[in-house]
Amino acid sequence: MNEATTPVGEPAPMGAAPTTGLAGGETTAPYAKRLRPGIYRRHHYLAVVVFVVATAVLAPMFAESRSTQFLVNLWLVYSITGIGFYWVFGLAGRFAFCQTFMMALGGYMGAWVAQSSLGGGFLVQVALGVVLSAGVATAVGLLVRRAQAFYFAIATIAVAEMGRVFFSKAEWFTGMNGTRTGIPPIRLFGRDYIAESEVFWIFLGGLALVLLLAAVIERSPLRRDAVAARDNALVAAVAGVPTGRAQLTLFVLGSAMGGLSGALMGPWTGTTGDTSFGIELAIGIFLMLLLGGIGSMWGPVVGAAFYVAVPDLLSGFDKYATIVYGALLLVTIILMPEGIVGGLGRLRLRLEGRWRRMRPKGAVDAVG
Amino acid sequence: MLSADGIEVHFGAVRAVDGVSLEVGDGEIVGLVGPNGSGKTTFLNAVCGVVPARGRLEVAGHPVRLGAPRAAARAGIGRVFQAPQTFEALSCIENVLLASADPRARGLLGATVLRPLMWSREQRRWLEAHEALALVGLEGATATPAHMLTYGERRLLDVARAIVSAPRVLLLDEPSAGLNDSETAALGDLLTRVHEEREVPILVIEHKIDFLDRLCDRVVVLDVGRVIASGPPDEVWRDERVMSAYLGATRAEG
Repeated sequence: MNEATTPVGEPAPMGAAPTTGLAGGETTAPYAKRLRPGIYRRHHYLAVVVFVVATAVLAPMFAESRSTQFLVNLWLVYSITGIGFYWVFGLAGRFAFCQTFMMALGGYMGAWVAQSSLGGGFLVQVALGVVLSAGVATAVGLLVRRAQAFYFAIATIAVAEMGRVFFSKAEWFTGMNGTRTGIPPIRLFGRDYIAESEVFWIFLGGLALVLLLAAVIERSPLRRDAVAARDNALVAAVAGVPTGRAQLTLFVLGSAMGGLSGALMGPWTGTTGDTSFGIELAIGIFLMLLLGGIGSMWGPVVGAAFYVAVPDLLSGFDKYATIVYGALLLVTIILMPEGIVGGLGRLRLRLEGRWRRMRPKGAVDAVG
Repeated sequence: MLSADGIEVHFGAVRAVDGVSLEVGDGEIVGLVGPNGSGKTTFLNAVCGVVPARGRLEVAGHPVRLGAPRAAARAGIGRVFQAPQTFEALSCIENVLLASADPRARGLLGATVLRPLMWSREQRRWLEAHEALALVGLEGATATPAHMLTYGERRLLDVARAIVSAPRVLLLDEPSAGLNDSETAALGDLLTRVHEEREVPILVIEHKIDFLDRLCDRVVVLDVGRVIASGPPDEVWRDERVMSAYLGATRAEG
């Protein structure tokens, strides 16, 4: 960039930005700050802090029974895998059907480490579960990097099926009949976390870290590269976007979150089996994302709450519960096609009247 | 600046581009014309790596790998497609930022460990993107979601995205399509401004003769995948082969 690129006589903000400022980072900052894209103006970190504090205060207050506490923990751990799937499917647009396989992989790995002679603490088990699922995801992602849309879905279904066969055969890894039992409970910093109300704090801590990572990714060039690769990979590549790398990165990262949630579930329930990661959950993860809102990192968190809480709330309907649940799903999807978070966001825009004001003003009528 | 030599593109048995050689020199605006189906767009696609092609391509004396869009982008080839190709899920400035030439701190490391580096690179990219938006007259729409733009504005946004990385050559595919006369005139002014301020040579596909006359130093005519004429606009329009190609009279076979 040189002076010639600045249109002569342009009013502020461009005219206010001295060209010399481009040379040094400090002088650039005040001008650049006004130009930053809208995504950087949102208060991601504040939202994470508010969410975590609110959950830490409210959940123990309202979840008094053990079964409700169990559901809260399930919500937290599903939120983790859901956020991972948001990166894979929501941001990178990768139609992956292997998120539950990644959960199983992380779960078995954690359990295997815990029960092998290696021992290792809780953090080591979880870390190895995450590393294994990330490693397998890297291999899968590289292998089928050219596969698009439904071909990628089919490839990942094949991987998940192969994994299922492997899990049923490799009993040295997955335990008798593919189920590991008697996994020792969470032990961290010399303290056991056995009761649901104790596990809650570990899971909330885990979700808090994942949410922070999600916020960091939202506020980075990686996000827009992935979105561009998702929406039009060819045009993005012509613009110079490293489309394959952005998609692979988020696929691996999202799969690692699947591994993380799987590895968290073993020491919590004491067992890890293929049945906990079946087709129902695979569809459930899609549902969480679509219901909650595919366009926001908060979508899967809200969607997981819906997925976990609503069937329980409807249990009063007895044998009609499934029908009511189905009807509720339909109504939600019809009324809020962009998911609950997306629908609320649109509502907020409308209330603030910002919808109109976002239209560009001024010198844009030159053409068109 | 851009030097294409014997570019060939085959679709099965069809030779869409059949050994096209052309050069775009520094400071030139070259028009690429020809009847429908003559291979103009396919040639541009070959140059920016969107379709597999054979031949030799150089930008500023450096060979460019064919069939690799990112290699073409890195070599400094900027492309504006015929139909606006905006990313509707992103804001205008984000659309432009996609094409930033600065690859540093863009991935996961930049988002996490190298965050301070990413942040300082980003701020420079924002300034560059804003300059590009200002040059096309979209500085008021920086934060606007791209899906709220009109058709014409989207085309301007595409131009901004193509010039933000300070390309060595700019390829435009019928930029005036769908615009009325006054809009076309405004677009001509814009392209001249881009050409002069960014010192970027332009290769532009067009059908509007007035537009070409006003804008171009030189015109290259394609027919059935081959160059049939090249030269200053007024000379080329008088060329017999060009007239017969356009009017569809006895088609000159070789």
